[in-house]
Amino acid sequence: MSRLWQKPAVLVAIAAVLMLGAGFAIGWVSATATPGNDSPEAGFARDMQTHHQQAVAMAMYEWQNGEDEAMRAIAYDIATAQAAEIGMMRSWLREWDVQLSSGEPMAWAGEEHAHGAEDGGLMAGMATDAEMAEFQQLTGYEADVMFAELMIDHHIGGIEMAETVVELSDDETVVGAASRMITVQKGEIANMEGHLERILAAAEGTETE
Amino acid sequence: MASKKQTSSKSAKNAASKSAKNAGSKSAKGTASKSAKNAGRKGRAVQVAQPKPWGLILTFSAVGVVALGLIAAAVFVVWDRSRPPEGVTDFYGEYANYQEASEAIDDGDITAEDLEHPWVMQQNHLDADEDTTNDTPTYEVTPPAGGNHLSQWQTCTGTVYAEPIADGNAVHSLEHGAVWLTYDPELVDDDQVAALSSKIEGRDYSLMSPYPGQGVAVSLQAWGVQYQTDSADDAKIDEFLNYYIQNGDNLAEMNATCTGGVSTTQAATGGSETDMTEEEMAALLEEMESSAPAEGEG
Repeated sequence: MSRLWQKPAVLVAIAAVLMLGAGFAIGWVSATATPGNDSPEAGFARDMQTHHQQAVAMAMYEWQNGEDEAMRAIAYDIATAQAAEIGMMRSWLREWDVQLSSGEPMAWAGEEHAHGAEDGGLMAGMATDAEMAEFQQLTGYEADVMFAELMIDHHIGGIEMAETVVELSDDETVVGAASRMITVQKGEIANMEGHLERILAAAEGTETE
Repeated sequence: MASKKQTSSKSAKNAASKSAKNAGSKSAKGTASKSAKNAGRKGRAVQVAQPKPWGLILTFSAVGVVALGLIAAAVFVVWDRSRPPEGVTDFYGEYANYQEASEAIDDGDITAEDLEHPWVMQQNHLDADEDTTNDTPTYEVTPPAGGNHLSQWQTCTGTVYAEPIADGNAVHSLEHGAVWLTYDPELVDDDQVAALSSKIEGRDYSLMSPYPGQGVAVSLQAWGVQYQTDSADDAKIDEFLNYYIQNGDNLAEMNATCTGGVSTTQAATGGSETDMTEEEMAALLEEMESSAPAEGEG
């Protein structure tokens, strides 16, 4: 050991190894770091919470006021599943130690997805306040029909958001959850379309009889 | 300091090689370790003069300092992010937030009554009993920033109300993790109201309403905290929203929603107040008088 101080080359070599080690350490830390405040993952989790929140409100209303049992079952499913997903995304955000809310919806998804204040900060597929107010006046058959129409659009927008984060993110948890949302919501769209057709056809049948 | 170290290192080197010569070694240019080894045989006194590897020490120190600096920077970033914006009034007394205060109570360290403002821990529904005078709760702070409230929350899915809303409903929204932005219609012009609206509109867990007579242009409330400013374009408004909406350490109720609340305003329910005491009636009349010009504008 005491020999080392006389050999600059050895010192340089040790220093180099240490620096290399530090470099690896920094690289390792940043590779395992949780998504930051401005990351697509955090943006997706924040915005999808809001998006889901409206779906839960719609589905709760349909569950209480709709009349078609199949549509009400779908509504129950959406309300409970999406409420749970909201909790999941909120846990991510807390774990990552980032903001739970942002004033710039969809900023994470790039320019073409960004929505300004002109449309009331609504994200893709979301119903406007006026649409929600109209829906929440309806009961029975009319509620079933408008629920299906609003929720199909809502899901199409949700799928678009989920596909965007799948494209942008490498985070296994987030990409995994987003992929499941895509699959589930595509399935629900198909189901709602089927039931809507049946409900409309039945109504036409009673009208013409 | 560095030069002093070098000097002492040099003299140590000289001493070592001198003792090596004295020991009869032929290689005066011999390495320090060799000299030290030779010297070692002669006695302890020479070993004390063994040179310190200053180069190494300096290198290690430098690397250490850099590493510590990086850690300190990381700690600072996290610490800074976890602090509320400056200028916020909090009503938790010696506790930092709802979480800390409620933990202190759970641990039995204090009771809610020991708090500087016990209302930060009061979360009852005042309209639960038949005494309807409780349906218009009064609050210590204006606009209120927590406390007992009404059973219905005010819908707060980024909702902008053009007319005043009931305190008791808005406080329930705060319990759900929302931020309530209020403005004094006499102190804020239409353009400023529009600018403030754009911050709230569509932003889940926030709501905004006029609050005639609050005496300050803009006031922001989250459960147990408040920020008031005379400037409608104060940058702290955004900071407050970013920090307090659904803040995990300040949630009076976890995972509650902003959908499904009431969206009535006082303009819509005006005149339905009954069973008021004389004092309440007087207070209401006073409030109506002070808000009259604002209503004229709207």
